[in-house]
Amino acid sequence: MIDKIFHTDILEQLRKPADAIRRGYIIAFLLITSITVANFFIIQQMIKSQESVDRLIEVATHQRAHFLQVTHVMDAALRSTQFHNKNSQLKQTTQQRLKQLSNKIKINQNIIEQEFKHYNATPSFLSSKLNTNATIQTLDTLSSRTQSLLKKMDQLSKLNIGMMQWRFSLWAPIELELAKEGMLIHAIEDIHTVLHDESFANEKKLIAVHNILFAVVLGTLFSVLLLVFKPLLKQLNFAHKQADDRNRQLKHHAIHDYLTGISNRLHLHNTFALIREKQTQQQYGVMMIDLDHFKTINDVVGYLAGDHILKIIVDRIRKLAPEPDNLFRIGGDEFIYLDSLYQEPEALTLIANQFINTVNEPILFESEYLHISCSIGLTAVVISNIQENEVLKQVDFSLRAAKKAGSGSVVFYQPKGNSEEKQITRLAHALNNGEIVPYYQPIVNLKTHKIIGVEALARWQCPEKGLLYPADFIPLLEKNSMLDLLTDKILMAVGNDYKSCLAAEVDLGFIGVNLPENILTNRHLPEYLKSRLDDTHLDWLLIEVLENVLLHSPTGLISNINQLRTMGVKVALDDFGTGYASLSHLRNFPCNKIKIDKSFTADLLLDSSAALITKGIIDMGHGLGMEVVIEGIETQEQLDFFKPWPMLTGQGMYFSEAVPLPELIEKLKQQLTT
Amino acid sequence: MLTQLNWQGRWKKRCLKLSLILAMMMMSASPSVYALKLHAEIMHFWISKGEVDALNVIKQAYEARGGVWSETRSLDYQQMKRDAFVRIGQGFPPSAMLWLSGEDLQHLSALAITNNLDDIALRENWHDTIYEFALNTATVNEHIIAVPLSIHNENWSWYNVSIYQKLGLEIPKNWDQFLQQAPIIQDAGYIPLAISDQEWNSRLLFTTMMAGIAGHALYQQFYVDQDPSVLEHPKMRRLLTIISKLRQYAPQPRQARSWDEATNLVIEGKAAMQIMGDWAKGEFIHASKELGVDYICQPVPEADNEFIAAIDLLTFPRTHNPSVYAGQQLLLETILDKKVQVAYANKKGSIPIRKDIELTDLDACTQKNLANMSNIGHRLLSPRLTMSEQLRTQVQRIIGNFWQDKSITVEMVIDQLKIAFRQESEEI
Repeated sequence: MIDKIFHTDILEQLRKPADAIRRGYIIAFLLITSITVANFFIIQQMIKSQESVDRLIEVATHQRAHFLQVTHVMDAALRSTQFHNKNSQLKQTTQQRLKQLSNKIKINQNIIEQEFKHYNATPSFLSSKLNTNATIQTLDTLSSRTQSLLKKMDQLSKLNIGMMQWRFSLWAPIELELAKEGMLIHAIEDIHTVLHDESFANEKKLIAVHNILFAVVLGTLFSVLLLVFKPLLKQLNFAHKQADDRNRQLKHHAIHDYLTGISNRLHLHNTFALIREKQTQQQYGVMMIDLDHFKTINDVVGYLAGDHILKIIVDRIRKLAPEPDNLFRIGGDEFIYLDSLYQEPEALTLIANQFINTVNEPILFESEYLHISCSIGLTAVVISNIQENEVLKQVDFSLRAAKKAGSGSVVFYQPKGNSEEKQITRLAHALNNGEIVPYYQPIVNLKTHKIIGVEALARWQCPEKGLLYPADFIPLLEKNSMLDLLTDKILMAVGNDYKSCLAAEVDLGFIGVNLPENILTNRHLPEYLKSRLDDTHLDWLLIEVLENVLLHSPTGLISNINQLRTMGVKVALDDFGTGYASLSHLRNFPCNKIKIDKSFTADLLLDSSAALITKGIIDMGHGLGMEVVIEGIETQEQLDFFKPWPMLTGQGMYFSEAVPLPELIEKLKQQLTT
Repeated sequence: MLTQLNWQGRWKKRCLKLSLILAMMMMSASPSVYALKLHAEIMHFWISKGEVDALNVIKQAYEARGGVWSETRSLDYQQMKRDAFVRIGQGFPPSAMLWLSGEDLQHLSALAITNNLDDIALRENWHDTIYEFALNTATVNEHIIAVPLSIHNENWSWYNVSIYQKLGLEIPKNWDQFLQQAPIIQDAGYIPLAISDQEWNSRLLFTTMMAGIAGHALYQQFYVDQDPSVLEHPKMRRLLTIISKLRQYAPQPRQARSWDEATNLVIEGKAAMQIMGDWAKGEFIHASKELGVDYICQPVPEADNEFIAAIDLLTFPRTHNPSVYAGQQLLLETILDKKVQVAYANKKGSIPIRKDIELTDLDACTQKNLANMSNIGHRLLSPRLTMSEQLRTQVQRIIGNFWQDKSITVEMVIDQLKIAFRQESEEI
């Protein structure tokens, strides 16, 4: 949820500049595009006008050439008449040539007039040179003189060639008009010059416009850069910085405890990883601080008080700690202090004691003084050489020892306790590895010797030490609060084995299982059993309850037993006679069976009082309507003792020791065949 | 046109200033005077011997005035104009051009390439000293743009005295008489009528016949009014018939390629008679022939008192060079000099353009000429001065062909002339 909030926030932060960038891009794109398009059209227009001027220059050049050709043709014609040449070929050629030239001149003149008419129509600022009065006058001159030239050429071309020389009025004006200084030549050259000037001016204009457009484009680019992209970049930088800050904050949150603000478990892990990375061989002092009875304060005074206490304590410890930043909160009321300046255990112990003292000082909360103490476990390790778990295990181990020693204690990790620690580790491994399994001791009818049920007994098939009995490992498990785990494993194995028997089509009656007190009192016992045994019909199950459990008569036990009984589960009172259960307990306990402790069986023949008590128990059991099971029958004599009671059942070495499942199945199969 | 006039005005002022400066420089007689010598370069087509002699008079007079003389000759008037225009077009015009009066001058005026002489005419009082009608031919749109050089009469016939005496013939009074004489002359081994191959020679023959056979009125109707109805007149038929007959008495082709060669035929005693303007006299003078002894000058038969005037002009192409302009001024001054005029006229066979010439300075022919000219009622103008260029050249071409080609009949000529007149009227 928090992540999500941060995430959208950052996205929001980034979207703003992204939108602005998009807008900026569009504006810049539109601006540059429009300038480019305008550029294109302006340049195109100018090139067009330049082309038209160039075309006109070409036309004017041609026209001038035509004019000169006219004089050449005319001169040739005039000269030839000098010798009274009546060559009709010459006449034809001359006439043809004059007509061709006349046509060409007419066409060119038309083009010039049309083009200039077009220029005269355009406003003067566009084509400055082409529509001045002087140009218009020159053009008029050119026009009228060309017309008269054409007329004279027309007349000349009609003449007999010999007559030409006599027509001074025709040829002389042509000669003069088209002479080097002739008016017509002048006019066409003036037009030519004007056009050249225009062309030059156009070119200059083009260059100027080109430069201006270049400047405009450059200016636009710069202004876009300054007005659009620079603010955008600024904004983006800002957003980026903000995002960075958020990120850093997130990172901080990830590795820091929210309540106290000190580093958390993850940070501790990272710190270990960092140290390991450095491969430093330095020894670190590790301190695990655990507040005593913190839960009680939380429950009694409220979690606000708990939070307050945590904050105050962290503050106090940090004030005292040589390295305040090395304090990590790794659990609700658990802290680790890492001493990188570790020299010797005494110094670390001294610091730990200071911590304990400061924690011990009363804490004011809502005008009330609260008192809390803590226990501290210590160890010193070369972190690079050791697993993180191992470090925590060591310091946890010493913390437990401290707790055992009483609140406010400091215990330094003792490597001497290593064997037990190793045993526990080995045992945990054995449990997880399925080395501890149920063996089954048959329970038989004493008269018929027929197996009517079995009791599941835990056996450790230890690869190194061979088969081990509960006495070898239960105490250790009990000491380390691992009994529940053992119960779990045994129950699951029993469920499986029962199914294997069904599959092997043998009837093993019931299976008796011992349950520790805390499980028996668990409110969810029926569900727990169903799930562990993987079965809903538990009428084959016998729960064996130790007699001394009844002494506490713990809440929930009776109701649990009643509930189990309605489900068809049978209940036996185990090792009866050894504890201190009163008969009234027996009366109130709704069990099906009483199992008489094997110590009675062993003493039957040696101690008359034992025999007497046994008889009494049997009779009393029977009297209460309970089945009685004799434990520990080892000899024929012992068996014989119970002959008078036809209904008794029993178990013991005389019949069979506890055997693994396959062997049991074998026994049951034999029983079926006999 | 406006700009041209402005230009003329400006030019005039500038020329005046420059000539003043020039004059001052000349007066100071600085060592650089040689470098400032004035030049005249005349383009002309006076290549006959008499013409060369006449022109030399002007040359010598010009040189005597300190000018440097040079000339460019062309074979004929048409070629000269062409050569002159090529030079004008290229920007190096001659300083003076010989020019003939008539439409050519109008066209020249329209082209505005020659100097306006109004100011000089006023200053030198031309209107008092020069024959008015001659000066008129140098005037276009009331501006004098040329100076008359000499007055010619086209209406002359020249006879070899020895042939006529040898054959016992009298100078013919009319064309019929000449047609009677012609076979006799021909049989005696002489050419009866020396007309050159040049078209304008046969045109001149026709023109003088128009003045004589057709008469003064029809001449005017034909050449001035350009009235084709003249062609219907019986006198025209007679005229053309006479020409058609005369064709057989002319020299062989290429025997007289130009008018002066034809004159030479008369001078050398190969031909009996030539119809040619008074300039032919220059050839006789050059050949040291004596008037009345070796040759006789007479108006063309049947045209006794008519005077067909043709004026030689001199035009001065515009120049930007002040020294050339000054040379032109010197040439003008030389031409109009009284003595030069007399000497020139006597060599050329023409009438001086100045009114104030003593008769005694002139020969008999010229005196007769002058007398005819003074009779305004008989004064005609050469077709060049009256007829449009197109029609005139057409008529000349038709008559020329008629003269050259004996297969062309009188009817054909009349038809051709009618067509030419019709074309002319259509053109207008």
